[in-house]
Amino acid sequence: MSILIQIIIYGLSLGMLYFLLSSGFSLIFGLMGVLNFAHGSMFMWGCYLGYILSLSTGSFLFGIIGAAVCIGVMGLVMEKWLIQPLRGNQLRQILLTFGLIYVLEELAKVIFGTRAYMQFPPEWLSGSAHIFSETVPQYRLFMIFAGVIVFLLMTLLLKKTKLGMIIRAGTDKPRMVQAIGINVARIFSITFALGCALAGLGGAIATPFLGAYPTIDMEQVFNAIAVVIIGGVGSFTGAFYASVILGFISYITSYFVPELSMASTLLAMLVVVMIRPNGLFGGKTSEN
Amino acid sequence: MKSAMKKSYRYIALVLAILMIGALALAGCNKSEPAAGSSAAPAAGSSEAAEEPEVTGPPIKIGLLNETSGAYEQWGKMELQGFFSGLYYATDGTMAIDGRPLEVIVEDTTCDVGVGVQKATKLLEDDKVDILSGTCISSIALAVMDMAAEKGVPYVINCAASDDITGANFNEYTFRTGRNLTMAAEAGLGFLNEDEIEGTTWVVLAPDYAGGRSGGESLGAGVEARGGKVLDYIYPPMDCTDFTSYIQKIKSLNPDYLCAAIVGNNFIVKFPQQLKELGALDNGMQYVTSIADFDFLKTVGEAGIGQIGEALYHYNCWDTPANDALIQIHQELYNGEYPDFWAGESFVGAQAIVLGIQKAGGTDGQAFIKALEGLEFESVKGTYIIRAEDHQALQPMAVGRIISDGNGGATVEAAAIIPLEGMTFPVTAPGRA
Amino acid sequence: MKTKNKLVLALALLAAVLVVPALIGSSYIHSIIITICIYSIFAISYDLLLGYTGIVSFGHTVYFGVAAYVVAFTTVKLHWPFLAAVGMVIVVCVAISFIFSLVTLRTKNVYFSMVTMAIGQLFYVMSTKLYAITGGDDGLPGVKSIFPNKTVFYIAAVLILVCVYLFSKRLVNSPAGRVLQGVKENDARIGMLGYNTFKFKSIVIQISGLLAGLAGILYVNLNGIATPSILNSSMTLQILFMVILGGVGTLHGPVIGAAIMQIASIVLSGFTTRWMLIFGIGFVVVMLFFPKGVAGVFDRFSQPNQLRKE
Repeated sequence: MSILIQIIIYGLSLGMLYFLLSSGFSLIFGLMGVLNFAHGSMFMWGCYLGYILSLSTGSFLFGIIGAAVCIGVMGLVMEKWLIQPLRGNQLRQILLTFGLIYVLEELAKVIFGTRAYMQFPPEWLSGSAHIFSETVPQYRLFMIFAGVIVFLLMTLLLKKTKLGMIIRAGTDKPRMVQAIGINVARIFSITFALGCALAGLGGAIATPFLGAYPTIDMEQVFNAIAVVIIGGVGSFTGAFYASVILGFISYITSYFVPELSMASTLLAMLVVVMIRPNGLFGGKTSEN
Repeated sequence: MKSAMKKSYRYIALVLAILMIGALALAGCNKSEPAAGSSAAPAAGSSEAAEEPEVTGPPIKIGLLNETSGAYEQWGKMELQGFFSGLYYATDGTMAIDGRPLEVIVEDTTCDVGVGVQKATKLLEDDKVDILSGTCISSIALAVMDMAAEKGVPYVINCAASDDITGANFNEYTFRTGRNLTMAAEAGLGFLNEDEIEGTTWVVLAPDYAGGRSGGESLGAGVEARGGKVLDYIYPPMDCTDFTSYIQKIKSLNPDYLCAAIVGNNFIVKFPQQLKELGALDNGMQYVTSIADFDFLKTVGEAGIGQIGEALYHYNCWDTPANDALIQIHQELYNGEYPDFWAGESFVGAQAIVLGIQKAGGTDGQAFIKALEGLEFESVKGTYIIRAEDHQALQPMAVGRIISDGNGGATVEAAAIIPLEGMTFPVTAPGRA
Repeated sequence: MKTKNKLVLALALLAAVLVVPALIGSSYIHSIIITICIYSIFAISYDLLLGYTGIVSFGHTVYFGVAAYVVAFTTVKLHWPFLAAVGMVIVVCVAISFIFSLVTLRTKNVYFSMVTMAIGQLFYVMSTKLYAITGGDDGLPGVKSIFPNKTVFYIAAVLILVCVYLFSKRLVNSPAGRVLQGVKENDARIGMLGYNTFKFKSIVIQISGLLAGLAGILYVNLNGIATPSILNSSMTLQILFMVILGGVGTLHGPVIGAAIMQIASIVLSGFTTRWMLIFGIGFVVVMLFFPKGVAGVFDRFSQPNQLRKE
């Protein structure tokens, strides 16, 4: 019974982390066809900024919201100056984001140094909760809570607002959207910024759990890729479910078969590719 | 019009890029000094030298492979600074041996094996160094030691810790003055007396790789030999970021001691953070782990106070004349900085090199080997003996405890010192036992 | 530039590269040239995929790394003779090509890229996990070079590079090579013309895999050790940089790219410890303004009056 609770709580909290990391990635890829390999770098910068902002303002909430906003702005700038000029050439865009990985990582080392930063959860989240005789840190519950809230808000955005409608239309039928005269460039910019902001938020929330250090970018980019493949490109709900599944898989393998845990994410992705190349939850076909 | 503008943008960017690279190239050419600036490589004959010794022979060339840039550049800096401090100390500030000035050529490995081999080629074949030293990265050391042996050049390793260097991959030209992983693991128990271990329960945790597994096993064997009981061995993958499931297992086992052996950078910060977060330490379980460098202390800060474990080197743990000299010289040469972590090891390596050359009366490879085998000398941690069988330096080891430094940060005190006689790990070099 | 002049220039360059370093006599310079040749061969093999067939694989370093490990394991642990080790490398590379070919069937475009990246990462994980076989993080040391000294090695490396280049040039200009370039332009249409595109793609994957394996064999000969770092995604990125920087789809571009990156990293790392930052910025600039790479810039200068293809 205790193991079950553990798997649910810890697998879910890890899954929420993956969701925050990859939801932006999936959105950007789905709508714009841009595979932003520097997405892990955005997440990493979210870790650093979340830490710095919480420390300097003394407010954890301000830290994570602030980090999300900053990374969103960073994404906006990146999109305007670097991605947009290369619109139409997917390969060059991807390759450019590769270069950005180096730039962002080295900048982080220059500004923050090469050491790791440890952050502890804020006072009001440092206790433990009791769930059916299992003691669970409050912060894990917060991670689950945050992930679910973001999912609900984003789903609302996508389903109920005009912007969301355009994004969904643009994901399914990009040429139609252009044909009816919508300023596609602006939508792209907003979506990209939003996707990056989500990653920044994820990073800031992850820091009390993972810490902040310069190799997070490469560590996490594979998780993002796995979520998108398993969940299906362009499917936001798919990203959510895939993240949760991946979170469970990670926890279960590391508990029962630790030798496989390093490879479990990759193996899961390869299995899905072989059985259902379009992802478990639908999503677009690979034509853009 | 638009495409013409775009064209000129391109050419401007190209010209700028070429200018930038050209400027950097011109500035960067012909540099065999460390990139960290001249402060890292003090010239011989600084103000502390009593008098200029007369030169009676050709310079002695020492090649130092160093991680000056790359992921481990902090470690490279420590090794470099400790090394020069050691040379300084061993030559009484003259930077010369028997009238022959020391010429140290430092080359950056950039933490890459290929580059390390290239630079070693340069030092061994072009610069024709008499003695080679350096590198913290075991794979570079393993590759280079074969090259040095082929050229008949002695290679003194200060930091790289893989057991294979003086074990399975042994060759007679290689020496190591730093400690190996097995020594580190066994030292982890040193703060407890035998009777304190008897009857206690342990869980041993180590990263899942050859060094971690063997280190973990040595530790477990040490515990059982003293009457303790190892409840489980746990080996998370080396790049593990989420230790939750392992910590849950540990909590359910509820041992008296949790010993994390041979932990790398990844474990050393995240693991205790998650241990604390999951309340694993609330039941009185004592957490034993390696204590690392200043960055580590800065990161764990006050949260780390109370942690006990093997401390490779912290300047506060040792009360020997050599250690005092190391601190003093290091601060003079490097802007008041305290020697950190690897500096304590490379100081000894430099000292051993000087002693070896002095005893051998020159830089002949075979004579140097004979001089170092079995050499006993006093250095930072007390008495060192370079074991003749496998060229590994036996040395006292410290078990440190993290304490408050009175300023909101953390420092280390010696909880126990394991004397030289306590180093009993076997010789694993093939055919040398 | 006229073909005859190009040939003369190429031969002059070759003579210079062979003779001048021998005269300088620095083993360090020799080892740098060998490294450039190794990465050039690796990069050319990658260009065959990327530039000519349009297969964007981010797992190409698997061949390179596995070849190095196979040689290290068979010669050091099993004491096989060198030729037997090479034979094993060929077998293994063909087997791996088979896996990658299968992947091309299931996935397209960007999916393919992501999956190949995952496969590459999987091999990296295996190299650190299976430490009983691979030596884990420290790697497998002890490989003896088949060349007696660096001078012989570098001459051999240059000659091997020339052979690889000529072979690849022959391949892309052959009728089969034209089919491949057609595949890059429009896979479906070539299929409709009656060509078995899968067969052609498999062959090119195999050839480029074998060439990358060759580079791996030379690498482990030079460095004497096989480490997980050559299977890492950062190695994939480096080779990608070399090909793109030099000029994708040109075959001589990758060589230029390899040379630039080697020399730049040596020069830059002597100047600042943050040289990767400069690399990254340089790469971003290239992607934005010079998609055809360095080779593209020179091509522009040599064809001032003709219509330029875009």
